[in-house]
This record gives sequence, C-alpha cells and structure tokens, in this order.
Amino acid sequence: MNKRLFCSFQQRETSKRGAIKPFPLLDGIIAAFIVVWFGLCVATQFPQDVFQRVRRWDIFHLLPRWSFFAPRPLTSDYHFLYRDSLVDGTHTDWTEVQFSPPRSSLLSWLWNPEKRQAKAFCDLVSDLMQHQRLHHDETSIQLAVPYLMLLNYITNLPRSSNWTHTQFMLMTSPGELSTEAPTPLMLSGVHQL
Amino acid sequence: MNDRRSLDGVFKAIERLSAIGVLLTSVEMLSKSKHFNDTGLMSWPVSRLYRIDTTRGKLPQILKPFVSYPAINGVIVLRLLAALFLLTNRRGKRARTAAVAGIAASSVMLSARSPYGLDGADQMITITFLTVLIARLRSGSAFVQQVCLWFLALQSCLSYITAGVAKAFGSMWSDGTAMSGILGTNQYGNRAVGQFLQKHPKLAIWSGKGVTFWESVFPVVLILPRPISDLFVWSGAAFHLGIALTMGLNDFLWAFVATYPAILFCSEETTSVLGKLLLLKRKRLYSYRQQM
Repeated sequence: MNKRLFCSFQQRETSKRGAIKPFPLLDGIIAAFIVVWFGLCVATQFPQDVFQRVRRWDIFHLLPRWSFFAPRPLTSDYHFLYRDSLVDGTHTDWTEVQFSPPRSSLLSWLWNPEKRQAKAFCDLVSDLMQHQRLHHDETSIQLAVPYLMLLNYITNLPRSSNWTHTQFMLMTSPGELSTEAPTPLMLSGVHQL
Repeated sequence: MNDRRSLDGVFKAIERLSAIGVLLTSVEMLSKSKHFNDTGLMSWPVSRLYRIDTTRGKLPQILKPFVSYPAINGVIVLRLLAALFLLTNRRGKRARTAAVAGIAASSVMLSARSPYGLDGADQMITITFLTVLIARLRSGSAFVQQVCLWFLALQSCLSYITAGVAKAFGSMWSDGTAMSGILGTNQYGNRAVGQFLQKHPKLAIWSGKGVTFWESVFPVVLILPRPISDLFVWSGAAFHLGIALTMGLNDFLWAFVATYPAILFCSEETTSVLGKLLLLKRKRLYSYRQQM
C-alpha cells in the first residue's frame, strides 16, 4: 500500500532525532468524540422512539433532524387571532396577528427577517396541537409551554381600549392560493388580566 | 492536498461562507429583536420552561446573563462583529480562532435559549462553527483537521440523504402536491411559482421527484472525481439559491454551501485513494501477466 496514502490519515510526527512519536492521545479522544457525535446524528434521523430518546439530553440542539418538509410537508397556514373583553362587558372583534406578511420574492433571498418569528409561531402551534392530541384536559393544555408563550405574547400586545380579559384562537387555512375558508384549530380559555 | 496550508485554506473558505450566513441572520435578528424580549414570541422567561435543564439548576443561572433580554442583543452584536472579522481579515490565527469561538458560543446560547424559531440552517451553522473551533484549537494536528472536515462533509451528505429518503416515503412528493402545497402557503410560499405549478401539475410532479432523487443521491459526490464533483456542488448552490428565491430561506444558502469546501476536500481524498488503488491493481495485473 502506498505510504503517503496512509500518512494522510495517520499523522505520525517525527522528533528531531527521527524517531516516530506515539499517536497523540488528545487527537484520539477528539476523533472518538466526533465519531460518536456523528453516530448519534445518524441514529437520530430515524423516527423510532428508541433513537429519539437521545434528544432528551440534547440541550444545545446538536443532533439535528434533517428531514426537511418530509415526508408530509406543511401545506397550510396557521392564523393567530385574539379578542378582548372590555370593562362594559362587550367583546372586541377578532384581530389577526400577522407573523409572516407577504414577501417580495426578489429580495427574500437576501433579506427575510420575518422568517424567524413565522417559524417560531409555526413550531408553537405544531407543538400545541401535538400536546392537545396527547392530553385532553384543559388544565394540562393551558400549562403547556407553547400555550403560555402564545398567551404571554397576546397579553402584552399594546391596546388602546380598557380591557379586562383576553382570549385567543388558532386557525388553519390551506394556503393563500386556495379559496377555502380557514377552520378553527383551538380556542383558548378566557384569561383575566 | 494534505499539507497544512491547503487544510487551512479549506477551513478559511468554510469560515467565510458561514460568516456570510451569520452576518445576515444577525442583522435580521437585530431588526426584529422585539421578539426576543420578555413579552415577545421568543421570550426567555417562558421558553426556558420548555426543558427541565433550563428551568432549574445551574444552567439557567449560567445562561441568564447572556440570553435574557436585552443582553441577548449584545451577544448578537458580538456575533455579527465576529462574522465581519472573519470576512475581512485573512491573517491572525489567534484572532480568527477567537472569532470562531465567539460565533460557536453564541450559536449554542441561541439554541439553548429557545427551541422555537430555530431552523436547519441555525443547526448547521452551530455544528460548523463548533467543528471549525475544534480544528482551530488543534491546528497543529493535520489528523484532527481532516477528521473535522470529514465530519462536516458527512454531516452535509447526511442532511441531503435524510431529506431525500424521507421525501421518497411521502406520497405528496411523488404526486406533485408537496411542491405546489408548500409554495401555496404564506409562510414559505411564492404566489407566482405556486400558481404556475398548480397550472402545470406534471411539472409539479417531476420537480418533486427531481428534488427527492437529487437529495437522495447527493452523497455520491464524495466518490466523484473533479470536475464532476464541482458540478454536483454547483447544482447544490443553485438548489439553495432557488429555495432562497422562492421560499425565502436565505440562511440555508450560506449554511449549507459553507460545507461544500469540506465535501470537495473529502471527494478529492477519496478519488485519490480510489485512483491509487486502481493503479496498484493494474500494476499487479501487468506484473502477473509478465511473469506468465
């Protein structure tokens, strides 16, 4: 086998006297760490619970899931609406919060700051829907972190009138090219402020 | 290809391409920093409840001075300055290592801060800078640097093959409804392209199948000789540019294209090994024939 070929992988440094230095332990540890990291990355691509359990310890999101838009991509939009109860007992109309205003396709390859909050909102709704499927009682849903995050956001929006309570609603629509009307996904509880 | 100078060149190319992505996303984050405040959609006091590790114990105390609002803005500004430094300075190994460390640390902090709003590009940037940091800290070892480049190349190939194979399992990618469906949404859509694909369902079917096939076979690039491997990575750059133009996912362009120098390096290594093996086999065959 060609000597140079092996040297590219087995770094053998020679000392001043010409003796071959032993393989540095630190390099071996680093290589082992990277191999384990990559092995975990491969394992967590599989949807089975046994592989996904590893993610419990992945605080820094170093084990990505690379199945972009697959196998079933999201082909609908989510909508976030809220209404307030006023001091006189009446309700305001439902108001929609827009996280992803229509983009200019010519510039979006360079500048698209809205994508992050749009993604955050989409993630929150997806998580909340999953939570709703698993836990049917209202208290559990209202204590879910995505629910609290949406409630935290909605209660802190600037308002002009006197209000005492608020409520939000999540809706879905089959994209802007469709003429179908949006359908409700979830109606929150009424929250006092 | 194995001398230190060329390895350093590969890492610099990776750093610069990733730095463009970091610069871009940092400016975008700062322009919408209201979402990071305590009442925003990505509020730290609420989002930290998502994990037990960030709710109690020492980790939230360590993270708080960096990820709470408005400190997070300072971290993003430092991240932006580090990316600018990597783009504008060619020399200064220690300063470059410090800039890489700064971006890696800020990426890790942003990841731990909130799982909401992070995408694959953010994850690839975090992985890239952590790997480059390891290589920079062991710059004296060509072995560690090569391992790091192989890790990045394989990670990139893993991302494409996973996306491709997962699409192959989804019927929406073969019947054309995935492409027109995604492009029909407000979040990732493009009205003109979406309408065009709805009017031309055959094109939607073939573009869905084309993306599935291209992503699934992408790892082949690692055994392709130049210039075919160059063509493959250019097709990757065109693919991400197309996604950025139609879907607005501009950060994916820089995050994934930044891994291509590592892919080209590894492809050259593999083809050189394969070439030498073939040559060796031919020589043996030749000497065997002569002995006969």
